[in-house]
Amino acid sequence: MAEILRSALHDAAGGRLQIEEIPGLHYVSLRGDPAAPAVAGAVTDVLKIALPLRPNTLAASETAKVFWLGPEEWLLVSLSQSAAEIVSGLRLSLGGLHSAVTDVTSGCTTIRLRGAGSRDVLAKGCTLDLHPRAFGDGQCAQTLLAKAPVLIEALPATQDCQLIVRRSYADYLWHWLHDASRWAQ
Amino acid sequence: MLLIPCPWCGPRAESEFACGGEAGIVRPGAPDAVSDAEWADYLFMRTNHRGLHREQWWHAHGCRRWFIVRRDTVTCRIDGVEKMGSAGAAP
Amino acid sequence: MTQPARLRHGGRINRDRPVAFTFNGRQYLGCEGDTLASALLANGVHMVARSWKYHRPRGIVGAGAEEPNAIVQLGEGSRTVPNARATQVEIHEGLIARSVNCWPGLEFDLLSLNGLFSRLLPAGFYYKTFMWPKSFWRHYEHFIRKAAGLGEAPTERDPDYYEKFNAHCDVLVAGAGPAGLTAALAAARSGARVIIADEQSEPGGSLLHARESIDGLPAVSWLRRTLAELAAIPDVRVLARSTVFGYHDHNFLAIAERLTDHLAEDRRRGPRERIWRVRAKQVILATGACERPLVFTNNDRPGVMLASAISIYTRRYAVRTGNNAVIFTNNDSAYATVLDLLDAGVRVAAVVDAREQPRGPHLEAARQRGINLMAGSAIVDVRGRRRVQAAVVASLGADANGLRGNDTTVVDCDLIGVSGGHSPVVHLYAQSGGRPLFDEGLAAFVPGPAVQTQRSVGGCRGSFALADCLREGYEAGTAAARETGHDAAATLPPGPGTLERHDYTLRPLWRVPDPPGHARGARQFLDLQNDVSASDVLLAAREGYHSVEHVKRYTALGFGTDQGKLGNINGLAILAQALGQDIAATGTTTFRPNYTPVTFGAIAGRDLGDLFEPIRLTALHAWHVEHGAEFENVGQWKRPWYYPKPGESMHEAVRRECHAARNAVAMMDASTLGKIDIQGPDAAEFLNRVYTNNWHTLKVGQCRYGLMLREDGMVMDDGVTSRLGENHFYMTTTTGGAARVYAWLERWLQTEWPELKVYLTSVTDHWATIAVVGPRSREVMKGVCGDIDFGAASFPFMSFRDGTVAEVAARVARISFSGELAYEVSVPADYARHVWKALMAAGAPHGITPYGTEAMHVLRAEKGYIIVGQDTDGSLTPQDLGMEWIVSKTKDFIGRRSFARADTARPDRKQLVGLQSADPALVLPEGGQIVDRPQWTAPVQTTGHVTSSYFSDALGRPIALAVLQSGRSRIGQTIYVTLGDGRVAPATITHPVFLDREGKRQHG
Repeated sequence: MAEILRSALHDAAGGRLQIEEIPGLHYVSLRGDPAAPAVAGAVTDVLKIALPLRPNTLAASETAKVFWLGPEEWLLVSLSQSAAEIVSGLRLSLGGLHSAVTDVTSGCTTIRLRGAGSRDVLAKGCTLDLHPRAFGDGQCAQTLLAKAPVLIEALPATQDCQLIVRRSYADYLWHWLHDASRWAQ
Repeated sequence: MLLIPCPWCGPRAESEFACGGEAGIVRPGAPDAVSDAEWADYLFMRTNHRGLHREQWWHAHGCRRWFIVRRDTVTCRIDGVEKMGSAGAAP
Repeated sequence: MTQPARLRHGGRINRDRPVAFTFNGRQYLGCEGDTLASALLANGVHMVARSWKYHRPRGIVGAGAEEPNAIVQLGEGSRTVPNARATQVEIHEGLIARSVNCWPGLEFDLLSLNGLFSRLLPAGFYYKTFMWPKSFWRHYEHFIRKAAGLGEAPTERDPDYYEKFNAHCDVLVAGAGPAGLTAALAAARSGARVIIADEQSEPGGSLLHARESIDGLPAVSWLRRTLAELAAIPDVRVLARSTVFGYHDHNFLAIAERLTDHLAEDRRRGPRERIWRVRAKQVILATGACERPLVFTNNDRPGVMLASAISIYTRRYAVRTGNNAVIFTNNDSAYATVLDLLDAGVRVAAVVDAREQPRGPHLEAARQRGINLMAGSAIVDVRGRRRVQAAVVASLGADANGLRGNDTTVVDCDLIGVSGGHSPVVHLYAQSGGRPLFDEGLAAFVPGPAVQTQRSVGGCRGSFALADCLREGYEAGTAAARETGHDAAATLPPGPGTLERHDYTLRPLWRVPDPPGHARGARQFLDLQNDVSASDVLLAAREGYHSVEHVKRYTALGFGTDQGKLGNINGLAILAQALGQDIAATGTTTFRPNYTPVTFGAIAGRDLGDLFEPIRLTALHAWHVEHGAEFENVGQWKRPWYYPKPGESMHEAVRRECHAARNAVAMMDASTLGKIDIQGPDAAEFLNRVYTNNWHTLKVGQCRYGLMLREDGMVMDDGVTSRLGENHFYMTTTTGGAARVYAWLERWLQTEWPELKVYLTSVTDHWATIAVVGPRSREVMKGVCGDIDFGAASFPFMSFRDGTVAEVAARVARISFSGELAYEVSVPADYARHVWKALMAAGAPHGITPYGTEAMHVLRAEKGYIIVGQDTDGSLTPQDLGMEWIVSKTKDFIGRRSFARADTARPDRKQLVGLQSADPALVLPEGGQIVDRPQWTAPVQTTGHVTSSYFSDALGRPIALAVLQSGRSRIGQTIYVTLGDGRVAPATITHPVFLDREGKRQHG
């Protein structure tokens, strides 16, 4: 029943760059005090991932990722567990601790860019330094891409990147990426 | 375009931020106890300082934290930043 | 089609690749590698323009960005470019160019009569002549525009693609001459990330025409070797045809890269231009220096050129710029030009040197070749009109302010090369916030202390000798790299050991004395593009203009495409002299971005059309498109405006949609509302502080409307908030206010009330919201949802229930923005289309009708419900809107204290009222100003304006909302709405609620 925004693989620049949407992921927002052991504990309980405390980093397992979004805010993305399972698991584990666990699955989507030109395409609309020296393995950043808020993730050992985009901006951003990759190297 | 050192995310382009104006404007604890003039002062009056100036910024498209930037209003040089609630940082 | 002035040998042009181009309608041949200017000179064309005020014949003066005369319009139709400098335009097959300023023609020019009447057009001539009498301005304006025209913008849509690229580097080098190249080399060898940009077609700067050797290699060979080394180092980017045009705060620099304009049109691929937005840790400016002209009578005649330009045309472009030259200088550098001319077989009739005892290495070399040196002399006048025919030379007095006697010597020539010294290109340094300082020895402004992490090297620092440039560049590159954490390469500076230090020995000469019998400063041109002469500056000084910025605007000195790159320094020195003060005290005008003009296409980039601003879509957008919706922009969102059936007008469609909502059932996509999930033990207290009403009393399962104020008491947003749990709320905001409200709430939490335990999460995009509205809405809901009791009492107005709608977990709230029985169904957006279709199917037997924002507006206006931002404008309190009922008197909240301020308490504030037009067919114009009398003449005091206005289907007549001074006490009175065309429409003031004032329908 779920509607997918884009599923077709988009080949830009003669196949040197691929842009595709990754559907079917589950997204949960977590807010809580990083100093409270129960917060990190809940994430470990439910996703078997250590909560990233360093700004603009993520921690990942085979089936899930946890992105640092702010000093009291994380985004949990899961391939296998449903958002409902994660939400109830976290709430159970957190007990009465002041925190906020919110399903945002329908509000997000992921776009993956693959190919040597990926970061150059992003650089046309993003002020971050995307050089692998400055933005490498395990790093993520919230920023603006063109005029849309995005969360960018550096994929390991490549020029590849993933974008987590708010649903309402996805169509605009898709068109922007298509346009920006028109002359990609 | 300024390069603003977010105390959490490090230096980021100004386009990710929103400026909230002069810092240290404290809301009167008991609004009814202050005169109209004092209330108007709180609402409207700003120092418009020439030189080093503390101002609130919001990392709107980053970590969504409000923090304080000490910026020279003449040269735009940024002297430093403070997290909210850090020692001596009146919001 | 030969090139009569092309040298047989040398140069960097390709004689095997002839290029045909058109200039002013005539075909010429140049060579690959030529600029338009060098190709014209190779064809013997010197005269390329008429000056804009006096329409004097003008020739090519320079070889770069400083060129004031050879300003051309390129191409035709949609790709035409105005105001290009012929000196910077590379020719390509099929290039079409024409002079921009030679109306009605270059050869025959009526307006040159102005030259005979030049005394009518002195500095400030606009102000003095054309401003009086005022009514004549329209006649003058036509004349001035005709005379002035500097190029024409294309009238067709730009067909090209322009892009932007954000880049970061450790070291950015502006300029790839000798200093810039060694700077880049040193930084690159150290392992730093380097970008080096140069505005010319190939990097090298002065090395492309230098006489010297470096490391035992001819300069061009050393250049080739250096570029090869740079190309082999990773993380080094060499940008040619790329002008660093802006140096902004925090080492943010902008570069315009021109990618395809140098190619024939059929060979162009990809973006035409690219703007690089560079954030550099360290900046090295190596932008060189501009030679400056000498100011003497008739110094604007075609054939008078900068000495350095002559060298460039001779050595780089293999062009013979004349057959019989005179060189006029006040320093040694022009003797290199003498040598270049002699090498090219050009006769040098005389070298006129202002210095009493000229010396210098180039002079000594030239002396060996035998030259006619006229020391302590100056050219005081030029003979010839369309081309130099002779120079008139006289002896300078001891202080150079006068002549030694009246004797003159006439030297026949067809080319005059001038060098008045060099002006470092301090533009980028000044843009960075620095203040240039006057160096008496160089008689030039040089960079002062760095303001940002920046260094100036070489010519732009006032170091004109090649050896100094190479050394300074390397040292700066090494130091800059080290400061970014990259250890300097242990390589020695490239060895300029064989070079001698350049002995500059300049004698400042700002204005050559007038020839005997001439008026002071007349036809001694400072700014060739704006036709400003020394006499204009002297006049401005006499008339009391002392600030250099005022003199600029009074005389027009330093405007135009060249922005005074040639003439400004001479002008301000003359001003200083006239004012009896030194040059440092006179100062410079402000050096602003852009260094050279940048096209609008490049500045716009891809921020065009659908990419100009994000277009945000709801999860139901495709359905709306499929069903023929017309859309309205609301903030960044596209919202269905109305759904016309074939042949239906907007008015008819909106009436049909309203009719369904009031009489049967209708539904709307309300997903664009801002939605904030609020959790925490202090959530209710937080809402209590940011909303005007009480939130502690709201029970779980209930909803409440809230009004949010700014601290000054004015309404900033509104919306319905539901209490999902004891510590859990779900807030909705206006569509346009969502981001603002979220920032506002976070600000109060983080800065003012950190003790409150509350977390906010934006869920705008997660939830889709569908409003099901109308007396039959309950039946429709029952058809899709079996696990909620929809009984009027068990599910009352302003409450919500969780349930399953069309098999999807949903939240159904009984709230209404229409005054009808209505439900809002919220589901995760992934399921929106499925649920919407299920509702449409369940509603079909009841005639369910999708409706858009226009019908929504009609429905809410009939009920007198405000739209924040339409009926309010940031200057209205809840009391002004008649909403005292929602303002608590028992607690504090943001904005409350401001109600007691004298301004917010005054009785004659504008208040929300209804209006009923006297004409039953007239929908009053929104924004229409209200006056109290039908007859009036401007200016008139207006007392309010119409904020919302529609035709009401339910009432069968137009309705309007307005804000009006003391409006509530004037109900029943007649006011007049201005229609914008001088007419007014009478209307009666009414209560703002037009329908069901008791609110029975929504409780049904």
